[in-house]
Amino acid sequence: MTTGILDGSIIAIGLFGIGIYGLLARRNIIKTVMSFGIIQAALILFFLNINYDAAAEPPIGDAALMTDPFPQALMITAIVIGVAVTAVGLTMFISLYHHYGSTNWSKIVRMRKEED
Amino acid sequence: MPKHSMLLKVTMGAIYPFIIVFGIYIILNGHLSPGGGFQGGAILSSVFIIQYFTTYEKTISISALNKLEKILYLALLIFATIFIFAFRDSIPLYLKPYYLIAMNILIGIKVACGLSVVFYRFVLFESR
Amino acid sequence: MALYWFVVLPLIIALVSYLSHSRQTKIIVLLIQVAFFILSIVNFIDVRFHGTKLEVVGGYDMGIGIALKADLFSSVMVSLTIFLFSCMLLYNYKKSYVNHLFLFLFIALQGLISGIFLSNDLFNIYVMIEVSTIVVTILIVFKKDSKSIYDGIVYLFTNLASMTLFLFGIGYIYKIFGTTDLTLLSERLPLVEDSRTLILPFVLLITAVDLKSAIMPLFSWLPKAHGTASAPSIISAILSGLYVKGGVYLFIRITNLFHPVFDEMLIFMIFGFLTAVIGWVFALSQTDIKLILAYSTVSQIGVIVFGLSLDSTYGYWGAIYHILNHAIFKSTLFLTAGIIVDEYHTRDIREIRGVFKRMPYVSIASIFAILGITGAPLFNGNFSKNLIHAGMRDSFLFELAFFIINMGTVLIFIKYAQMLGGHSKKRFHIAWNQKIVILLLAATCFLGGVFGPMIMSVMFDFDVYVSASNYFSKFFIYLATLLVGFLFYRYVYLRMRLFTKIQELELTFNQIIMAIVIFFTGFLSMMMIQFG
Repeated sequence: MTTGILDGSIIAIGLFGIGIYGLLARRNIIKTVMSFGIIQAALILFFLNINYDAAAEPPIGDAALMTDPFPQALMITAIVIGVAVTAVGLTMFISLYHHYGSTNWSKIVRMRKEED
Repeated sequence: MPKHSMLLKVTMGAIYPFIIVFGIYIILNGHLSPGGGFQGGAILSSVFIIQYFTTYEKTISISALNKLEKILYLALLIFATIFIFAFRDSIPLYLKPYYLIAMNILIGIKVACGLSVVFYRFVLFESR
Repeated sequence: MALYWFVVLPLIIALVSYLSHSRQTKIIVLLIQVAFFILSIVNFIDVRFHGTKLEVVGGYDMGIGIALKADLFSSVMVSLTIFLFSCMLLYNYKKSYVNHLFLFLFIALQGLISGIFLSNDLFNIYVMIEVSTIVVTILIVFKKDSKSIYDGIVYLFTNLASMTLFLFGIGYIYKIFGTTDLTLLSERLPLVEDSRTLILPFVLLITAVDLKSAIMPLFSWLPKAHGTASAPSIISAILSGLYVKGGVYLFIRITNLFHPVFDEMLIFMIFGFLTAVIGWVFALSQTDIKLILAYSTVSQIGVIVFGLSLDSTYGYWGAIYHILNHAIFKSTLFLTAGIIVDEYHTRDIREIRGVFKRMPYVSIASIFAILGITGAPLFNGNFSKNLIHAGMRDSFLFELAFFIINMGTVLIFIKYAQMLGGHSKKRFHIAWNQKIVILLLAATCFLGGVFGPMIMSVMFDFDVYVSASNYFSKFFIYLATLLVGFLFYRYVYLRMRLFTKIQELELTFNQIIMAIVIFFTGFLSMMMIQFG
């Protein structure tokens, strides 16, 4: 069902742009973490679409046209790294929230300067 | 989760059997289509998270999940070692899918336990 | 010995030392570290006399397995890593916060940094950098102080953002070439007919690597992470000395990879010069000891990148020797600053006086390091800066640029060294293990300068002849620079209001991401204009 324009790569680039916009323009720390999740999903979609062919078969035994297992293996590692990074980021956010009481980047910078 | 949320309870309660079936489907078909142990395990762990949202009276003990995960890890290592040493030269072709399915199931349940433990540690120790 | 042991063995040692709760773990780990250092020297000798080692893990063919490559530069960096980590472990032997978790993370970090230097596969580099980012973040906030958590979270998120760009670049490269192995890529790169398809992956990779090595618009994360309030001083030393050099190492690799197609030396020369100047301007306006040292790291990285982009052999080897020198003297400075802060209980440089009378060993080590970093003759900084100078073309503009950079470094360390004078009442004796470490590092500064040409010809097979009259003329130039710097500091600097205004500048997280996006779009549009 793949048409010319709506390829998986184009949607991945669009999602990546949305994620970068979320990192740029939103001042809530939770929205930053969510934007990182969107960017990781976009990258996984991009990688899985590299050698995609709807008629390909898995590379076990003999087949005429085989899928490429390399991006899938890389993406399993990337998913695990994404989970670990989200967990560490959220833990540090909880400590930050307990100390400063705010979830806003600018307010925390201001409170930190007053502490000095 | 202090508040009753009727909306979450009803919707999640209606959906989660389908999520379990979908997760088991992805685990069992790991050798034929994209998916496999890790991805199916991640989907199955979302069932544990939903269970926390719907019925917050009953919570799961983290130590039981930890123990189950370690037992499954040992089973994984033993299974792989036995298989490699039984068929030293080459695994016959009819046995390969069963080996892959068994490894996928073990990895899937292990990953589901692991990710649920991460979620539960966040939730149960939030008032730190 | 196979190369993958350099990466795997520290992880195994870390795991075993975490699980065993005996009292002798620290000393056993130290002895294993010393043996490991000897093994890395053996590996370096092997590479030096038998050529580059290239192995594929698991014995597969070249494009199928993960490849590890050890050439001269990376084996020297691996030896430097193990040497610095052994010194830091000896330094930290009796500290109270060194429990099992700290040792586990610290030794695992050594394996990961060796993995960055040795791996030959782009995705392998990505995994190593991501895991070491998480480990370094946890080590920065290890003492759970309130201020350091903000620094840690900014460090984590900015490095993560740059690594997503790196992964995107790897995706494009795999799509075009079908492999991510660096040796195979350098073979397949000239086959591309239209070089415009390679612009986008090149810009993505260079943006990510620029943030890791703290080049001009993207260095805001560095002072926060390296100079944060309650980070252990060995972590700041390892970060400043070794981890940003990993970023510079990747910069060298990627520009070497794309060299037949894109030649962007002029732009990086300008970036290096701007980084060096902005580094010392910011350093002069800080009052916190560790922030001064962190900004001076930025300035020295500018010098290194400037030397690398000069497109001559003298400049290249001078920059590489400067990487080694900077690791040693910056570690010495951070360790001594840590001891001083612990004793005086303040980090403000205006309040610390009389270090020389109170802690003579610490101040001797600081003086050696300061002489090294400002380029005094017979010290190692002088030799590497001479090599970079010899690689420059003979024009007045380059001489002026080099003079400005050197003057800036001298000014920073005149400001830093004023805490050595003055009076103090009591003596403070530092522990013997710390004394051994800082004196060893300071002696390495001195020996690296005296035996500089010999080290270069033994290690890198690069013969440089330095005559005695050269030393004398450099000595007079150095004294003249010191005098001018001292006069400038005394009469001009203390009257300028500009520096107090610069101290207030701080970028929030959104502004850092905006800087990354502006850099990316600017570089991309410049490449597209240049290549049509």
